[in-house]
Amino acid sequence: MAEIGKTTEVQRHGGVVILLLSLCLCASVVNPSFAKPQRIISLNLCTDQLVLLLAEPERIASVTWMARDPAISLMVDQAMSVPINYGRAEEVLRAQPDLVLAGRYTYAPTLAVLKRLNVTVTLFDLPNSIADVRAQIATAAALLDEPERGAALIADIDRRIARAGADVPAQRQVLGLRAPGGGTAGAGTLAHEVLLAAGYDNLADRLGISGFAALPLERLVMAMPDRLVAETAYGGLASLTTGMANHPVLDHVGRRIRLPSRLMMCAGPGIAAAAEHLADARR
Amino acid sequence: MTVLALEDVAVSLAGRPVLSSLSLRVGAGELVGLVGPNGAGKSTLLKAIAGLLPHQGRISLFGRAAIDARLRARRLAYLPQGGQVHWPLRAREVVALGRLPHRRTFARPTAADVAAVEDALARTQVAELADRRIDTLSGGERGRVLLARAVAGTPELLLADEPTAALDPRHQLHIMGLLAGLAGKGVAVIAVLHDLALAARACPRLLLLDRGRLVADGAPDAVLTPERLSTVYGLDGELRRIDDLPVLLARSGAM
Amino acid sequence: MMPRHGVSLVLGAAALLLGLVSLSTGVAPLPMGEAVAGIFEREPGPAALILRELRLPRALLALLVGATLGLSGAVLQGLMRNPLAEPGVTGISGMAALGAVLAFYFGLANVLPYAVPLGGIAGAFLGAWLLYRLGGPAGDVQTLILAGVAISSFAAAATAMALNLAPNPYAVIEIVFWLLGSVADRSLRDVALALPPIVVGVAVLATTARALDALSLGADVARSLGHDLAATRRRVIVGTALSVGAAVSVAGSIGFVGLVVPHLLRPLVGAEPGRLLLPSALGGAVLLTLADIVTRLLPPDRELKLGVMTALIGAPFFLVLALRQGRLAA
Repeated sequence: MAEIGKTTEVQRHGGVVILLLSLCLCASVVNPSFAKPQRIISLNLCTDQLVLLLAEPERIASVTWMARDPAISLMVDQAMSVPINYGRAEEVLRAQPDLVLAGRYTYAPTLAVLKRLNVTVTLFDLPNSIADVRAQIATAAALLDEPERGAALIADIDRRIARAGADVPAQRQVLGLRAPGGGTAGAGTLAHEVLLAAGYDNLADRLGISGFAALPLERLVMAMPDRLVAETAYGGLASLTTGMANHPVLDHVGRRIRLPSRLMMCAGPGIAAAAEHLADARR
Repeated sequence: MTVLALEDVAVSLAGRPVLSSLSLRVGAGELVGLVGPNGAGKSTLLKAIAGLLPHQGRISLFGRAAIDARLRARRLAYLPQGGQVHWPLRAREVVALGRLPHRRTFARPTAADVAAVEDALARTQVAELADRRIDTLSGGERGRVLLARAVAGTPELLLADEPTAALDPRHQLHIMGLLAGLAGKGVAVIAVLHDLALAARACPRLLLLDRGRLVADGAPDAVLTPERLSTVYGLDGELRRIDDLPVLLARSGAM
Repeated sequence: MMPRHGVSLVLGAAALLLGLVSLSTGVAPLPMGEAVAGIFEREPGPAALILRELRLPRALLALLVGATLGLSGAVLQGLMRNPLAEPGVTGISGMAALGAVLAFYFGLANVLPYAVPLGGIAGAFLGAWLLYRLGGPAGDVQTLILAGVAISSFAAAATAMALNLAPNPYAVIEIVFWLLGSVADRSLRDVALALPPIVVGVAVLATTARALDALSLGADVARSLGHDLAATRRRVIVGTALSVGAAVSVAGSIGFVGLVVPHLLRPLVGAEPGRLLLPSALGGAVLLTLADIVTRLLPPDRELKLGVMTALIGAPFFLVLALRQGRLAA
């Protein structure tokens, strides 16, 4: 009867454990963002790509249906193993995400609804430079809590682009870039930087064009670039601007390089693949 | 020479019989008045002769039982009631349309075509209206221009449906005189007329239609007897002659 | 007969002249001598390329399509005895666009290169037939307008739906081309596809001249003048379907040319429908080429669609004509 005041070791350890547990519990309730996001939704093709590259499939609630379209997506296989959404607010709400990524130009009414219902959406602009690409990958990696993966991806892209630009000749070939519908990418666009990095001069830049602008066929023909990228068949499906039938005059305008323009649209390894392909074409 | 022969002709429109058991002959140079009350089938008869309606029985034109449409068009002219002209054509252009059957597809009008048009304009006394637009002419003037169109085709058989309808008495007489002149030159003319007195005066022969049947065929006095006026027209009256000109004296409408 | 020939000669010369102006008009200043010299070479320089591959098809199409629309407008007006008739207003062009769209976007052109003009022709044929069934042989103003509205509305809606459901997602924005029309950036291939049906269709339409003249006096008199109206109607439908169908399949649905041109020429040439055919064809060529030149002279960053230009002129025209006709009928 004399030992009543003494605590046992188990009791003492148990007390510490309970204290620690309760601290952790408090921490997670008070600061939920410290935990890795477990239900990630992407509402934009470019953010789809980032999410699929950086996060495990189990943590992805859904990406857009476009990620499975081989004509525009670079990650079709990966997209097959996660659910897809059609960009609608209901789908987002039903999934109760803890992280939502979208593009600046994702369907505005959907974004408005989500905002009204207090769902936090992080918006990503279209990257306008290689620096933008690095920044977006880093931001996404931070949000997804995968900083090492993000850093590795950036390093890989940098390495590949550097290799592509290794042996640039003194006299660069002029490359004309024609998107479906007749547009081109001038100075201040991602495509422009990729072209330059791969060792070409951008025809649009030479013509004084900056940003995205229309390039009339006549001006393109008159300028006679050395190489031409003109996106043709959209997966073989007919359309006036992307169909099999590009205007016959383009057959005479510079040597064609077949390069899908979707490679240079998003922040991701696509730009490295594009730079490599372009560099190969000039060797 | 027989220009037109009908043998037991019947015509139905929308399932309803309009003409039945019609037999008659018309020779060259005859001026025939086709009379009868409303709904008797006069217009239908003209259309059937012109080949515009299907019919049972035989209609022989110019001695043939069957005739090519283009050939018929050169020898027969049809002038419907209340003729419309859909475009603001000049009178001369309207009359010139009458020469279409005689013109080869892409050929210019020949001297003969031009002469026929001028002749038709003169005969119908619309020469001074030749360059006027048809939509600016009065009803009567328009009627004469349309008749000129039919005349310009130099037909051997002229079918006219109420050619005097919108005309004042002077022009009515003039038109009937014109038709008589054509008959004198060998053209067979069948004219639907509403005015019995005018018909009796101008036409040596009348055909009286009643409810699709030919009830009388002969000289006006023989056709328009008081009995016929009563049974066919429901009129209590007679055809009188004043100064040798026929006048319709209608005392009342008998029921 | 001099006036008619005079007008046609003037219009023909104007069409030729405007064709040449069209060849000289464009975004890039073109050294003409160099361009013409290099035109037959196998590897032509840029100037000759632009002239041969870009400007020549454009000028040719403007002339061909314009002539088709002018002529078919004059013929339809003659047949329907109504100055409001023309392929756009009556919905025939719209149906042609629908046919071409169905053939093009659903892959038929991969199977058969001629599929798109054939689709346009089939669509135009259906449109003309529907118009005849709905509007009647001698439709009054209201019936014709209503039939045309019904057919055009259906055609536009069906075209929009087809483009929406097309496999290629770019299809949806291309609706502007099909509903408004354009001859920009067309190729010699397009000209080659459209030329045979247009030539045949125009020839067939030309043979209806006399029957249309006779129809001025009404159907009965026309028949008594020896014309087979059923055959005439068939020729109008077939000729219109071939020429308008092919034209729309390469240039989209351009409206109002067939309405405006015959109307403008009637005071000069006379109201006889047959007489209007050749001048209307030439006048249509002149009008459309002129409109196409104007679209290229306007502020360069946004080229106006050809159909917008013709609609700007033609729609008020149509309104005035319709009101005037309605007042006459009332």
